[in-house]
Amino acid sequence: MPLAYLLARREFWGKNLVQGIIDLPIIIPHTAAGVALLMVFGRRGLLGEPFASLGVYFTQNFAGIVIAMLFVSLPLLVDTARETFALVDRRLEGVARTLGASPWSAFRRVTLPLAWRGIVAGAVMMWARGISEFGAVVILAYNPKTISLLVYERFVGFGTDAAAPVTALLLVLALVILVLVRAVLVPRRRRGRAGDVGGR
Amino acid sequence: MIRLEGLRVQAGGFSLAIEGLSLAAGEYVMLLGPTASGKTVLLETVAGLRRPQSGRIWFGQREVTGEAPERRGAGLVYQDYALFPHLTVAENIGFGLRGRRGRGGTGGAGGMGGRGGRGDSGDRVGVLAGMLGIDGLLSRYPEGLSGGEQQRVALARALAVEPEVLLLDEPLSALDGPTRQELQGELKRVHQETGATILHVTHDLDEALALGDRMAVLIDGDLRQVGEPQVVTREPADVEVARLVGLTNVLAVAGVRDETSGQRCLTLENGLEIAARVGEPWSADGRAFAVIRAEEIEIEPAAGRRREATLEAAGAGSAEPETVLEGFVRTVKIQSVHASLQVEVTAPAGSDPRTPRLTVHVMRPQVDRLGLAAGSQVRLRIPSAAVHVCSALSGASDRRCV
Repeated sequence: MPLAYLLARREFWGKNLVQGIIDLPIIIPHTAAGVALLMVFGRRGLLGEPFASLGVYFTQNFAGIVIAMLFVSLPLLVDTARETFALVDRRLEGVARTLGASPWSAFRRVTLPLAWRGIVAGAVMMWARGISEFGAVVILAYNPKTISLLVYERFVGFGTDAAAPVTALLLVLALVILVLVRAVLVPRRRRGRAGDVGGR
Repeated sequence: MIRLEGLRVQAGGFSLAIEGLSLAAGEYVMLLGPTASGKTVLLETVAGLRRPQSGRIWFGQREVTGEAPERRGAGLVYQDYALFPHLTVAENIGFGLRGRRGRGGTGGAGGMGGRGGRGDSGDRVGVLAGMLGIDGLLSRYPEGLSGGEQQRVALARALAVEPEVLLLDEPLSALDGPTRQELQGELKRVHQETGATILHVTHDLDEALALGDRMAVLIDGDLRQVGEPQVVTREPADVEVARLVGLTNVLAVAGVRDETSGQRCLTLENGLEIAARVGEPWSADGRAFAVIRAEEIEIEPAAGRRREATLEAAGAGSAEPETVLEGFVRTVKIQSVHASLQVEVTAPAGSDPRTPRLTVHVMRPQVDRLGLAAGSQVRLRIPSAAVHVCSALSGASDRRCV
């Protein structure tokens, strides 16, 4: 979130590089992303090795799944949040500052309330991308199985019939959540004006 | 008291330079300039939202140049109001009152919970809303308010924190005519009631004349002239200031001749000779321009007798010397209170045949009384007091009138 804010508000040296690194997982095949992650977080990887000596492993376990999903879905949150922050008129922050608000207070009392819808939307997209992730997870942490891996394994091992129940469950779950998110995000404005007089 | 010293601000490809500008406590200063002349940049610098490259800003005895905006105490009101859309009118006005314990605190640190509209701050919100006539709107959100209402809210919000200086960035420009008049009156009243020090940016001359104790003219990031509105509009420092304050008769001067009678005579580039006051400053270097105030030219029908343009030193120096010119009216433009006439001056014999045109303003009834219409032969009397000499540009090198 701070990164998204920084990218929306400031110009700094290497901004395009940072932006590029964040967006990288969107364009490279996710199996490649998985290999890259394995090189960093694998048992003999750049970060994996020191962590392994502490007894912390990132492969074939839950932590591996989290890392794989995080890496490939992060751009969705960062980009959405960045765009939402950029849409908030920075003069509003300026006015808040002249009214005595510290930078953090201006962010908390003005920017965040105006940007939260975009941030929630970004988080949902990130979650959705995480759920549907396959490539990076299959390489970094085949076990314990994520739902997408389970669908694949059942389909390869036992055919369509075996994969169908899991698929159906996934579809229903995703649909329910997407509908709920829309329900929360969209009519919020109307309620905010009519019923929510004087409240938060 | 607010004081700016040697201020330099870079903003994008634009630079602003203010040698010096100060506002006395309780003074209402209008900053007049065309669009994109750096007015907003100046206000944001005073507010602390922009960092100057060099120079100093003083609020009273306190130097605030490097101070964060929340510690400065400068209230800012933008042209498009910049209200917080997610807060009610009351919450907008009370925004700066939350967790505020006088100036000097870090601001906003306290008051994590609770709303802005209770207790002392609630009273203050009520008082300000009452003063600006928006007490009926306190529970509304900005979205549904008219422009005039929104600007009142923005004004109340800025006043709530009792700023040391109130910075107004074209606060009336987005409003329609009647609302603008109304809010102009409101600003004047707020100024009188609160004694606030106000720096008000505008590109509207009438607004500047109506509100300002003093007027500062900013063109191309450069402060060209500071003075009472009456003085600036009568004696602009340079040609661009003259045009900005609506002076239309700006004519290049070719030479000057002081006569033994103690009279000064300007020769214009188009060959005309115009009497001016001896007191009018003049230097030979650089191009000079004569500004002839359109409303001070007297016009009368020429009644058939044709006379050469003459310089008359009437009545043994008792009266002001004046220039008498003959010509005919080309166009008559009727405006709200006055009429604007374009008069083509008949060139005196032997002079440059390029006939100059002068704009003459008369009150509307005079048009009928004098029977002025396009084509009328007229005589113009230009009192020397109506003539002012200024330079082409009063850049950083020569700031003042030549």
